[in-house]
Amino acid sequence: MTRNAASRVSRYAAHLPAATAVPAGAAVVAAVMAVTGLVITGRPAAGQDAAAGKVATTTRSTVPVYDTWQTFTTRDGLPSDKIYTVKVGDGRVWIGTDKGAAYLEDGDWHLLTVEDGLGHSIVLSIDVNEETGDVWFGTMSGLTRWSAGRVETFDQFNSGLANDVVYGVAADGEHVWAATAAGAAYLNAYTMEWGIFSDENAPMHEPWTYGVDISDGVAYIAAWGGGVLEYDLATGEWRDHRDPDGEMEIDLFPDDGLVHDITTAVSREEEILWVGTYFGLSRYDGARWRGYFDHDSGLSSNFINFVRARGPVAWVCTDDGLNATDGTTWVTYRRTENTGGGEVLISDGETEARRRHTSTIAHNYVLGVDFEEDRVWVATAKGLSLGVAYREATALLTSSGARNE
Amino acid sequence: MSGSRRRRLIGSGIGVVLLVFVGVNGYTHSLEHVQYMAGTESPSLNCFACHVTTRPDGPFASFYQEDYLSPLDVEVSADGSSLYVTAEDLDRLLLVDPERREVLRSIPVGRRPHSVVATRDGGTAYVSNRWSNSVSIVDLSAGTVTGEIEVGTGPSALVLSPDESTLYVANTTSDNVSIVDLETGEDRRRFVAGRNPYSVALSPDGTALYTTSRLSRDLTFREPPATELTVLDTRSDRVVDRHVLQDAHVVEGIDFTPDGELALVTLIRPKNLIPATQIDRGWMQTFGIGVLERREGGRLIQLLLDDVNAFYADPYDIVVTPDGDRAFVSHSGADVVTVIDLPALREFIDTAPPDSLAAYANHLGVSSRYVEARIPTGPNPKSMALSPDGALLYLAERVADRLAVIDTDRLEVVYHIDLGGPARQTLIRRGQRLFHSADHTFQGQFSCRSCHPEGHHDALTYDLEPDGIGLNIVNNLSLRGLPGTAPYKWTGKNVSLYRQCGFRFAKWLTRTEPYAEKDLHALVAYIMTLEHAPNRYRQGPGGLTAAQLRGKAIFERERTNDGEEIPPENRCITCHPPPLFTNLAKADVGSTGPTDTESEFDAPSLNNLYDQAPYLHDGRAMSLEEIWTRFAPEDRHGVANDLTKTQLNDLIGYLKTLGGSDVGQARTEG
Amino acid sequence: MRGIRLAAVALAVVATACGGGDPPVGLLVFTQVPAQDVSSVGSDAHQFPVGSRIVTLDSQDPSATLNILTANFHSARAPAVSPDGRTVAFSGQRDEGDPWEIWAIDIDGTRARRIVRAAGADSRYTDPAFLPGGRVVFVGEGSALHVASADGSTVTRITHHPGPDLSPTVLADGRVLFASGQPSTPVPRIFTARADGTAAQLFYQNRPDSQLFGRARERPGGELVFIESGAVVSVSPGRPLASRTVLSEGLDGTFHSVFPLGPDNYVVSYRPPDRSRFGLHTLDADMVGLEPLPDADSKYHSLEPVVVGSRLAPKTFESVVDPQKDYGELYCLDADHSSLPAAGADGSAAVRVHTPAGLLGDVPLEADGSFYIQVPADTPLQFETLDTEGRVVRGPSAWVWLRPGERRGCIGCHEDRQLAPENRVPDAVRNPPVVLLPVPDSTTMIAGSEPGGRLARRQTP
Repeated sequence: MTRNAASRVSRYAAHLPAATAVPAGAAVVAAVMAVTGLVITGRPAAGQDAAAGKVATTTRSTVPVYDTWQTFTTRDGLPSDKIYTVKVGDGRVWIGTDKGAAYLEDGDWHLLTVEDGLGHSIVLSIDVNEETGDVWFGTMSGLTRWSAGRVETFDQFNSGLANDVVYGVAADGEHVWAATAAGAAYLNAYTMEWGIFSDENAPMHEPWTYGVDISDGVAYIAAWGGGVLEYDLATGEWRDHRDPDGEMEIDLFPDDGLVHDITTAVSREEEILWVGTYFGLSRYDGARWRGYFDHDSGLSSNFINFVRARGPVAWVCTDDGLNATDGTTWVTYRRTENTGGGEVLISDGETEARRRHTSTIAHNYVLGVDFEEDRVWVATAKGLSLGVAYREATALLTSSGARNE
Repeated sequence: MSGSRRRRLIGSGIGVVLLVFVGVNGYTHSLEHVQYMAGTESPSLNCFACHVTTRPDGPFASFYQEDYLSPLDVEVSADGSSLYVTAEDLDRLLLVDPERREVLRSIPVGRRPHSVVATRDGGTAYVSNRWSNSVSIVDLSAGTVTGEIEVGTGPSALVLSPDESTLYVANTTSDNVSIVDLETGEDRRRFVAGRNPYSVALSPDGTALYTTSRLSRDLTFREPPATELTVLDTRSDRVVDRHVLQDAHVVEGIDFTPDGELALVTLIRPKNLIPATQIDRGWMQTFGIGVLERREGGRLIQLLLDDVNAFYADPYDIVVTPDGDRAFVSHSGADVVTVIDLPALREFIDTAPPDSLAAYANHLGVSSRYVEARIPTGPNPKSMALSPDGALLYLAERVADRLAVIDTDRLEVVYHIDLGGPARQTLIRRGQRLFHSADHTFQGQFSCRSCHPEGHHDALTYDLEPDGIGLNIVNNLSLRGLPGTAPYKWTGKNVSLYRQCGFRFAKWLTRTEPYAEKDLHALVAYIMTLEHAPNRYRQGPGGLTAAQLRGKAIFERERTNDGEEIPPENRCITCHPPPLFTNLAKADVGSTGPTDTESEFDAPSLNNLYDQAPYLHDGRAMSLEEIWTRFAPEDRHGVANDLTKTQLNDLIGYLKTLGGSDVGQARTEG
Repeated sequence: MRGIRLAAVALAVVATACGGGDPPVGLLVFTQVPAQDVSSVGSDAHQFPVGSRIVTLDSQDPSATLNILTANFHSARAPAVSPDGRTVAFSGQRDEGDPWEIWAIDIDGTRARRIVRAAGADSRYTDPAFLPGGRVVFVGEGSALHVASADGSTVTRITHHPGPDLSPTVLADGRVLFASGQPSTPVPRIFTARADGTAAQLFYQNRPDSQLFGRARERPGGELVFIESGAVVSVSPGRPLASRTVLSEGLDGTFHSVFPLGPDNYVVSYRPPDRSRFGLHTLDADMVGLEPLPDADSKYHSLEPVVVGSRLAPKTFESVVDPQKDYGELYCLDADHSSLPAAGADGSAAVRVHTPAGLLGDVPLEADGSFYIQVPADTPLQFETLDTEGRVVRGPSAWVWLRPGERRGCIGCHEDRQLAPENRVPDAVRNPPVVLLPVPDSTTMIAGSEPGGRLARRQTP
């Protein structure tokens, strides 16, 4: 039996590109990203009356600037400081780390470990099903469902899950999608039927998928080397978005389409699709693509780990800082080593403001972001950050003696 | 004498001799055949037993079948003036006048109606249809079905929210609960329940929906069952608790004390992990209740309703009186209603030393502390409902097609309401009665139904005795869809059900007198009528999805992905050919488990495989995937090691479509 | 209530079934013992009273007279009536000095025939009771229970322990209920066993200072009635260990034997306080009226009444005994589970098994306290639990036995008799049994541990 299991692992592993072998160190962090993109409409935040109903997220018209930050680490009860993902939903803040998952409820962190049934201690992605409150975890060994304390893991041995390495997960009603190392897996949570979409049966060049988001009845899949795929949940039809120039090193023609085929994250809000790649950010409004790079926008780095949109604003997690943008105005957070404080760069292409804050994100290697009412949670390689008070970027730009570049 | 006459005479003589020879030999052969099939020396069975009366679809079926009602659920209207009864086997909702003691209307609904609820004004009833996967909306004044709501698979119990805007439906086969918005008529969301959710009930204040489950949610090999009691906060539509009834399953009935402090459920505590060497003192099954204290830090206590030498099989429904003084439990296998003295029960659990409560869950000597009376009933008592004043308890006697009316003061059946079923008791009906009765088990320890709810399976594995202690653990199989699938048992040792349920069954399992042959005949006839539920994985008559068609091709393939020929004995379809998807033969597919003394097992029929987990002869495979990902190390259970994960998914997708009628067909028939 | 109905139905069924020349329902069969032999009555010390005889009397007919069935016997007692009411089995001494043997005779006193021939001149077999198929269970050699085939051609001993087994009666469910004494507990207690001697277990725990007397009898609803220290006692079948009711509460005098007569009354053998003779009386179910029956014969006590046609045939069992085997198998879920206090604080490490011939072996316990052994069949066994130093933690137990091929589980050593087992796979049954069969020239065998070494539980892998 064991022999067989082992052979299966290698057999399925054989479907992966060689790069699936996960490198050590920071590259691990790079390799383990997740995209979860639902607008939070979950239960009220911790401490509030659960019966009061849902709180719809306020859509922000301008980009906020958070100037007060708190940091949570193992000292506060987190299982680890290496936070791969953060997700707010149903009255809880969930994080995935390299030592299991945890959630914040009523001021306390509660851990969820492999012993509790979690597929693997490395938790790369989390989504909360807003209809049921069920929480889905993409782990290095299977897709785990937490439902009111009951934990089940679906893996490639006991279920139809495409592959045990689950980078991204999205759950919406009966639909659950997992971006795995061997294709996108679909689960109908009502009937428990599985499907796999990979280079065998979908317009993917490689089966390696990184991120997934569900929006308006469409699943958006970030496929490594394959751009972004759209799957219409009702019709089963595919549509793919590729980098038209096909260049791997540069974006030859600006705004001609997706900036690069090596995509890492997708998020769609208010009919705007945001795509993170290792070579820049793309924005698609259904008609027109825009590309953003560190040299021509406020983007702090082209190496994008994760993107999550909220209203018209995309929060972009890179290997060198956190960015928030609506496509015009940029707010970038970077930690200044040794000071504990940080710098915020605000720009709108014409005006730029630089502000120093005594508190900022925990680390510049940023892996995840999510929102809880007016607050923002940020997963970094060295702790979980919470931005608690904000001002409008446009207001700051006009009032801060901004200089014209 | 002329030559031709002589020749005719000689010819006739030879003919007679031949006829006698054939006749005598034929008779001898037939007798031997019957003896072989029945497993006894002097069977009273004849050819008709197997070839006519146990063929539910045979040409003579109408001679020995009747349209029985089989009342399952009974509800009382808010004003007490009407009773609503689901007639499970006739696909009807019955409206009964309890005063006149007669059926006023018989309204056709979907297939296998299970439960009914009605609005307080008595205008509308909702009926769950197990085999139509729907809820019928019934206009009670017109007596017609006005609409149908599609829900999950195999809907059982349902309950209306206090404001009657929402209907909660337990989808037994799809393991979830539908929350139906009655304004839009849409199943607006479903939450995951335990395995085979069965009953749903609202706490007295309406803020919590409790869902019982019939099967253990975990199927780990040789681990005890742990069955979920799911709690939904109805204000937030969120599951807030998943209580686990450890070591229990078949949790079917639920009710609350009027103050809402206690939730009471019925349950079975099986002993499947213990070698089945004895039956006395609850070594096979015990029956009881779960008591949940609905407060912060409240306990979930299990107590037995059995006595040390008397067992009350298959507790089904539980109903608490409006004053909270008594709970009634119907034991569908014992033909008894147990009366629980609730103040005494509360005192018992309040004063019990904390460390003794766990032991009480297995104690056969404590029921007298809280059991006030046992009320004998008619056969197969199922659902119960109290009149609004609590004075009368209406009880569906399923196999008698009538309601028993129990005086809750005198604690006895005071009269019956005949629902108008056929007067004739057919062979099959008698078999149905036997199947559901624990009378043929030592001390009434269990019925066939205890391990085969609704003729299906209990998802447990057993350590049966004949082959030794701790050896040859067997996965309990469904009894549905058996015709044509003999031999039986995983070892294929029993050529017929007569053997399967005959004297060896009595010797090693029921440990009492074997069934009399006429009873055995009736029982077999009934079991042969058990059908698979309609299969929802099939998208319509003959229609398979593209993925299912790919899976079919893999199932039927003769070559691997590399083009190598697969030896016939290692193709899926060789051992599992349609239409039963078994070749009725044994094979060694490399699935020998840690407890097995044999390596060849009977190829099971694959029909309605989708709801028969766990899999393999010993139940080691928790899912269909595991058959190949974990338990086919030598790739002999059909060549599968070359399959991609997508192909394996396709194959499994196809396997799930096997068996059962099409849901669409079922609808039109219903 | 249910029981009474059942009883009525049962009587009606029997009444219907018995046509023409069948004995009338309600015919009494009982033993008469010469009245001067007072010592034989009331103490049970003397089970084989000289000059005793078996008679019938139609209790429904006021003018009926006694019919002596065993006129040709020197002594006879302990009648049992076959379920069809046609045959009486009894313990009889044909001639003075003969052994007591098991006989049968037609209900009209004809066709006396010996069912079981005594093995020795001093043999005293008694208390026959009918099993399905005409077989008879009785107290035979060694004061153990035996079963004889209908024609007496085969006789099998079914109980195996050093104490006496007495007064078998066959229950409607087919089990044999009997009084059983252990060397350690001189007062017999009531046990049940299957008719093949398997699954023997305690049924009723009488008080240590009380005496069981004669056969217990089963009412149609299943209640058991019997005589305990001269009083009529009833227990419910569902909860025999916790439902003792003294039916004759407040009635002075002494009761010798009892038999259910109808749904609402009993026939009892009773001696009023001011009399020296036991006579038959009817006793109402609510114990208010004792009415003497016309059995008056001042020269005899009237004892051991049996009512003809009062019950259906008991159920049959398919025996699990395998005569080809000379061993049985026993597993225990947790040897430390006991209602008895332990000598030491720590858990046990091993269990020791004795036979009357000596030590059979020590078996280390598994991590969960379980053990699984193969032991010689039809051999009395006694158990002790041991600590790591080999000191006794609990025990010795009562003597038990296994029939050939019998497999049996127990929860613990001296467990609560009302407990059902926990649903767990005992570690011990994950492996083959430890074989504890006698080794030639040795009565001792240590299994699973180094000789002289410390005992230790096995560790779960």
